[in-house]
Amino acid sequence: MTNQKNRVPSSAVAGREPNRREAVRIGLYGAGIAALSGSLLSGAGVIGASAQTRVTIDEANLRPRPIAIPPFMGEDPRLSKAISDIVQADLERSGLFRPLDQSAFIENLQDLTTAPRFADWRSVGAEALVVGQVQRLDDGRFRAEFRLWDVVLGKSLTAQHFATSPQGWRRLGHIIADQVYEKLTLEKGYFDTRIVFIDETGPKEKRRKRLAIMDQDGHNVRLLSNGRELVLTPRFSPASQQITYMSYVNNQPRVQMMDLATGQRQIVGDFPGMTFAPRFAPDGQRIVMSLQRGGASNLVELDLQSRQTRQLTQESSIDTGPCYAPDGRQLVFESDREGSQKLYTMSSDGSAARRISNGPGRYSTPVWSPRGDYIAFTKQYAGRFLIGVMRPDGTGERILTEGYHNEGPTWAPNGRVLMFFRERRGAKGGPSIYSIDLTGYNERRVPTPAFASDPAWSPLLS
Amino acid sequence: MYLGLTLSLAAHVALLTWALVSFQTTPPLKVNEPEAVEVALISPDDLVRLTKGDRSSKKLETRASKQTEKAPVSKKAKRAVVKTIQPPAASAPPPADSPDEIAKKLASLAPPEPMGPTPEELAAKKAAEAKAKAKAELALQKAEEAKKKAEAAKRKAKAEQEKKRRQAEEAEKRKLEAKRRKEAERKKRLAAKLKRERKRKLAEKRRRERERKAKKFDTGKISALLNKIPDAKAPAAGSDNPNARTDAPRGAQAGAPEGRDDRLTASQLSLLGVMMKRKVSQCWNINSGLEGVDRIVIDIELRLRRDGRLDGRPRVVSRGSGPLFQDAANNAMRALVQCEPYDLPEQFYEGGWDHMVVTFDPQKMF
Repeated sequence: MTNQKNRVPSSAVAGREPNRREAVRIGLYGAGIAALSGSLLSGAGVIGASAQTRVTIDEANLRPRPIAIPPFMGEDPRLSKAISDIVQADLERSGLFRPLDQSAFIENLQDLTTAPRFADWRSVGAEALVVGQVQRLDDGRFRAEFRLWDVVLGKSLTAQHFATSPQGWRRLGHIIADQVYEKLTLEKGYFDTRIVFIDETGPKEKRRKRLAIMDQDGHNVRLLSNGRELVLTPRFSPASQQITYMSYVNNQPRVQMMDLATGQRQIVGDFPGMTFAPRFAPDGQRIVMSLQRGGASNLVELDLQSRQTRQLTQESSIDTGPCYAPDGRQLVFESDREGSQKLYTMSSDGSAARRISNGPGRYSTPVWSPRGDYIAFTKQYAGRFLIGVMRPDGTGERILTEGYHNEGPTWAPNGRVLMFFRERRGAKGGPSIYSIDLTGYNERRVPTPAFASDPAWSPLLS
Repeated sequence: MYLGLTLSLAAHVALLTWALVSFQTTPPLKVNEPEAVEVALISPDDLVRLTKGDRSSKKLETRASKQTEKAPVSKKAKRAVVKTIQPPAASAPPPADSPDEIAKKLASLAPPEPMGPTPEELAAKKAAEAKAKAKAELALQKAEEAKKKAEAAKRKAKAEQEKKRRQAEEAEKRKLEAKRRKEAERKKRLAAKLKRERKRKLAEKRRRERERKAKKFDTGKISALLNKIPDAKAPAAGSDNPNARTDAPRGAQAGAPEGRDDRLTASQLSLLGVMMKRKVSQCWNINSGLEGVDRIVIDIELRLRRDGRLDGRPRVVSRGSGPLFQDAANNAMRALVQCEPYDLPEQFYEGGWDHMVVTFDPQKMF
């Protein structure tokens, strides 16, 4: 540093070699600066006035964070406890939290306003504490409030309250879990969400496939179709409670759309060939899909407002499975234009297509993460189906899970968790839905009443 | 005339030739080169460290050399001592044999009568003699008493003088002691200041050094790094007799309180670092899935009590903002609080784990 400072005045004399007197002055100047900066540094306490021991910690013990969630308070203890149980189950399933055994708790909290005895909660191993209360309002709605404490640092992190209709009481738990998750992980939660999927019943050779919807934790399953027609590839709109899917209309595969609030359906576009593999654009105003004509399948986009269509690819190959990037400027899709199925990206006007998957095997069903940082895919390689992720430029390919048959990844709205379906071998085997962390750990089966496939994650409801 | 000129010329030529030859053959003046003496410059705190005490040692430090013991008592003090001692010597001549002389006088004052004695006379004489004897005895007794009294008085005077002298001496001593203490205090403060300054510089230098060398660490150089300070037990380089006893105390001593040095060696510090790392990394948890979390390094300054508990709240030294930074700072802080109490070697407390800066750097994990 001193040397550098020393050079400052010499450069000021424009390339001339400094004479002896100047050199001395420069030296003094440099020393002065060094002394001054030294005193400033020590004054600012950068290292601490007399701290001499420096220790560097470069390894962490990555583990689920221990959290204490005592049963919520309220007039109806069963309801209050049920809601706190939802919070607990959501956080536990995320793999990032370890709810502690309630029987070990020392302090019995009586109200939300007084601060807990932090030492008591620390001694049971908690890092965070969620205290809540549920009330029934005069208009019949339920109101839940909660407070989140950091018991190690002894401070309140957040306090909020929510109200819902009695039917939506489970959402209170999911919403609180989302808030806790967001406060402690700095990422948006994904618990107050739903999943549309294909419910599969009956024997293998005569499966009845129906469109269904459920909460992300497997509760509140509701069928959306009667099963008389085949339904495939349902996809949620990222911006609204609408879904699009492929169904057979007059024995012809057609992309359809359904409004979940009203149950209203409509066929998307009037195309001469069969349409399939639909997906919403990020703004929810356009749907991109495959249109088959003859032996070729190309990508087309339909504007839902103006009903205008736009052809994005014009190849003699099979281009399908399109998915927009969250910013809407790019698309990822699968194509066999170079022989076998690979992943390609292109700009949203259909130009600048380039292959991004470089490994061996066949790549399909690409899905761009809502965070924009990864593209999830299904890969068929060496007789197995793998679920993996890669960066949008094709680098950093990582396989999260593998098995006899895994397919159809879908992202949670925070881009941290994926769901997919896995098929078991054998006559009695069938598909089930699983969730997995972006790290490849914490794989969980999502409970469904029967076999289930083709999950699609909704955006956050609230 | 020519002869004279010739002689003169010859003589001059001869003289010049001799001078020329003799100058050339004169050996050049050689200045004896002084013998090389190796000098080691040591700073006050080096000296302090060399004389650092050790609890386990049974040998007591020779607190100060003879010179330093003598020096403060010199001149003024000596004069004062002489002054106070002299008066009793001059004013108290030995009482000698004065009672004997009195007795002699008394004896000479009453000689026996030389006249022929009659029985009455004899009786009278006997009585007189007895009287005189009694008188003499009394006188003797008196003299004896006087002598005793004089002696007592003398002793008293002597004791008083002694006392006075001692008091004066003590006062002087106290004064000197105070002065010495003051001086020592000043020196200590100066040394402490120098030490602090040096430590700060050293810490800074080490930090820079570490940063610079982090990537090219050479295990072959460890011993060189550890052995920067020459062995105190080895004889001084250039010493004629390696076995010669020096005034400098050897080995560890139960030293003076000001001889403490709280700087740990590099190996002690690295051991402490390993122990801290093992402990704190168990308590440190981060949100590994966050984008950019690997680039946030948090420095926290903390003080520990001897029982291993935090002395006050640790302080985040790094500057930053935003939720990512805040979260990283909280995670680091949580780790330090959760790891309480710290079970670290007692002897490394001072200058070791009493005051630390802990850096949380997640980069290596990604």
